[in-house]
Amino acid sequence: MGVEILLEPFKYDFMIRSFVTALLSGTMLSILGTFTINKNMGFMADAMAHATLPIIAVGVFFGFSISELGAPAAILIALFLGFIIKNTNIGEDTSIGIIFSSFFALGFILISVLDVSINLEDLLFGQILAVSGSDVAVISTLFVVVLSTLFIFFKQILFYSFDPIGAQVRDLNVTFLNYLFLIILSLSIVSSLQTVGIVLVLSMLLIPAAAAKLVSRTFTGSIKISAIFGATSSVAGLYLSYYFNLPSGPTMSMVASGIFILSFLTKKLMMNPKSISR
Amino acid sequence: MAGLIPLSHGSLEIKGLTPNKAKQFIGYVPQNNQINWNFPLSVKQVVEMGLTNKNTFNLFSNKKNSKIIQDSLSKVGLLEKIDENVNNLSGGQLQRVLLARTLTQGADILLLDEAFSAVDIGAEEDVMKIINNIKQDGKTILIATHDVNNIEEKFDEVLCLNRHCCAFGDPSEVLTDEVIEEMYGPHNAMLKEHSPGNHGAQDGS
Repeated sequence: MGVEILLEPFKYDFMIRSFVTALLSGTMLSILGTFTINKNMGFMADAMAHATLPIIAVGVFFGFSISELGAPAAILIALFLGFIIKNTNIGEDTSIGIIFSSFFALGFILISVLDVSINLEDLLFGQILAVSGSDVAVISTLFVVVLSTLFIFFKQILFYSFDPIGAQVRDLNVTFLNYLFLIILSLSIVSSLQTVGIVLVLSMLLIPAAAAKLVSRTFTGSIKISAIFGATSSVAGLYLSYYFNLPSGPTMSMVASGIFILSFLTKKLMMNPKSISR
Repeated sequence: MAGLIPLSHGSLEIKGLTPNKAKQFIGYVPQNNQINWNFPLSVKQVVEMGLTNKNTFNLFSNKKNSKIIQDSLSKVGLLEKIDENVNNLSGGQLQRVLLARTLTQGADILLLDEAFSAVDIGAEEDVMKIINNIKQDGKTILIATHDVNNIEEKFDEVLCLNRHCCAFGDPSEVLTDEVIEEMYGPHNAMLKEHSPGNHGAQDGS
């Protein structure tokens, strides 16, 4: 009976595609999330997701699909954000806030002016059930590219993230590493827009990583646990949305939130077992 | 010297090379507040950064590196903390971990930025002992500090700076009341009169 429940969704091709996509984006986002939360880059990540809107609007107007637009849009946004932050003197948060809101507003105006046929609700909250075979191919490729880049440059990115000045004195190419991380973060976010959408992509990026940080003592341990939490949230969320007819993106986010609450309580209980009786 | 800030004028050579080309000889211990302590890294991971350069593309440590890390941690007396989370260490222990990081890279010149700012007096003595041991190995150690107490006992030479060179030499000779006033005196008055070659005194000296 239990196995049948697990296997039933796989009778449908679109569900197989959805599970593969959910697993890949959930794992990729949660691994990148471990760096993002420790570098305090949550707001930056949110801006990256929202800044895609005008690029998607123009791209769809010219007949491209959202997944085809993903990689170039992600790279453009990462380079643009990195450049603006480095070359303006108004503070990182302020620069990000300006780009975030301006791009998002521009996106809505373009969708209206160009009369682009985009389902905004799907774009904001995700519509994983609509992914096509080519979407799966794109996200699989980006999964391999993003994670292999992260692991090849892992020690350099970690050094730069922990001690940027020390890394510069050690002659690491810190400008390259900064842009490289922004690009792979942006790629993972933009490629996951169909899974959880512009608004909820942040939950899959940050929540599994934050939960993992609570229950792990080491950084490498938190990466492994975050990947497991991210994959579990997306797959379990998809099962729940299938059986209870719930919207897929929000359900995945809520499962991740549930895992975070469990991790928080586990940590509290482990630190102070006596608090159970209080 | 670390190649972080371009020279505004003049020239600087380290072992006959420009600062950018001499980075291989420089070991740098940054100020405590310049480091992102959010990362729950182990002592081993931090020390290993001394062995990380722009050609490091491997994910895992090899045995040779592990041996170098252990030797460096032994020199600063923290081998038993190798797997400890750096966030659990005291200020003095952190300074020793960062010193061990410079030792792994085999740098000849160590730059310590505000090495004692987050360290209590007892730990400061421990760090000084280690610095003296490193000095015995033939390394040059430059420490930036705002604390002029006991400088004669700690250092062989002192360079006093306040936007210009106030004095340089044996601490017991150059740290006169005049020099200390020039460094820490009423800054507004000094800056008002300050120009190249004029140290801020009314008579232009």
